[in-house]
Amino acid sequence: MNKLNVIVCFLMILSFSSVAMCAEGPAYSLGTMQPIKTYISSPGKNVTLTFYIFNAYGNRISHITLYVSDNPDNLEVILPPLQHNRYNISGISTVIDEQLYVCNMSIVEVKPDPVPTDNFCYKEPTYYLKSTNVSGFIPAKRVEVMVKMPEDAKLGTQYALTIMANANWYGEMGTSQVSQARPFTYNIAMVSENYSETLLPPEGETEGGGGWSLGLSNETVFGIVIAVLVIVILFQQFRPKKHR
Amino acid sequence: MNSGRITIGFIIIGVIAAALFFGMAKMPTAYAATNSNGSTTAQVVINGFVSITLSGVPIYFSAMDPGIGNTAANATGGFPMTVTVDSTTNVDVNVYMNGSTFVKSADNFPVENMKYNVSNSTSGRAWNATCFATTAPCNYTNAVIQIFNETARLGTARATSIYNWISVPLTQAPGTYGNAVKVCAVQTTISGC
Repeated sequence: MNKLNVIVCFLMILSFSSVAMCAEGPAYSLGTMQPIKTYISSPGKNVTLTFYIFNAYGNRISHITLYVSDNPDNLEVILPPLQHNRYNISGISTVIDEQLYVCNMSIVEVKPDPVPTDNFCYKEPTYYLKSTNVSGFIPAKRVEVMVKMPEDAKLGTQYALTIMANANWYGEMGTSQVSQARPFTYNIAMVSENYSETLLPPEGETEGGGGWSLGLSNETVFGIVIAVLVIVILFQQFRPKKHR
Repeated sequence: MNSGRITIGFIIIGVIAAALFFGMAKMPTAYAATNSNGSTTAQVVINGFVSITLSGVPIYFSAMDPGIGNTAANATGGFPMTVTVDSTTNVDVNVYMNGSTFVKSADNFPVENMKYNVSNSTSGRAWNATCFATTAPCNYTNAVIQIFNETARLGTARATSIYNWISVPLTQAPGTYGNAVKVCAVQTTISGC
């Protein structure tokens, strides 16, 4: 085989390889991690709920929209603002409304240092998560949702809330467009800001200390007795003396 | 009243105060312990990861005549579609699918006309299968089907292939109809179908 035939064969192999690579089908991936399900807060305070979204196995950008799917107590929930982002999707300019987008970012063995900033995929802060199942770190985006607790919330009450994340992908138009949804459920418990602990009498008995019938504490009785004695002594000292 | 009487008065106050104090406090009746035990709690949270990847989608059906039953989706989209519980998943997951009505302008037909199966057999379930879970976690409005009930803690990806067929009503108006299919994963365990 002469040199020209070898070159032609080599070029054919390269072209077939590139065709095979381009023929990879779309893969739409939605990964999530919710670190905390139960929060503790106080009446009138704000709580920030968090969860993470990653796209370690897909080859399309995941476009995420959020909504409150279950809010039985009508809590005031503030979602991240909706962005109107312009994309060039296979040569067509498209505006997509989303709270965030998550590029395909594979699992890395070592966290990059510094984090790349020249890529739009890293425009929003990237967090590196550790799963018990895989070695390495999973690049992820963080979502924060603020909840304002009612001023008149009763201590000991638990509030339930579900935030839904929808992931959409673009580029192909089929008969059935496919999306993914992932719910995040939260419980928020109302507690007092300051810790205190006192022993209460058994149910049915009146609350109060020292067994005094007026319900006065021992400290109060002690103070009253001392005050009376001091007043008596001072009265004796300063009362007008009778001159004979 | 001379200073002596004042002194006596304060001594009396002090004695009464001491009596009240010791009456309130408990005198120790034993020597102090030489050791004491306390306890506390330690807590560690292992984060739960859920990752689902779809491939073989969107679902495509070629142009067809109305009244034809069980037309398979295209091999390039939906025959099969693959739902993979990725290896990063370390919690139990249930995965559900839900589809909306097929719509073209003012015309439509129900998603129940689409059928799925985990094998290449038309004896699969319609999308209004009786075996469906409550819609609360995924907030579905149409019938939902459960396609996965996985304890996926082993670090191995698990994939399910789902084959799709469609039957178009005989009197359906011509045109291009489309719908949306949603796959929802819930980190919970529900006794499955």
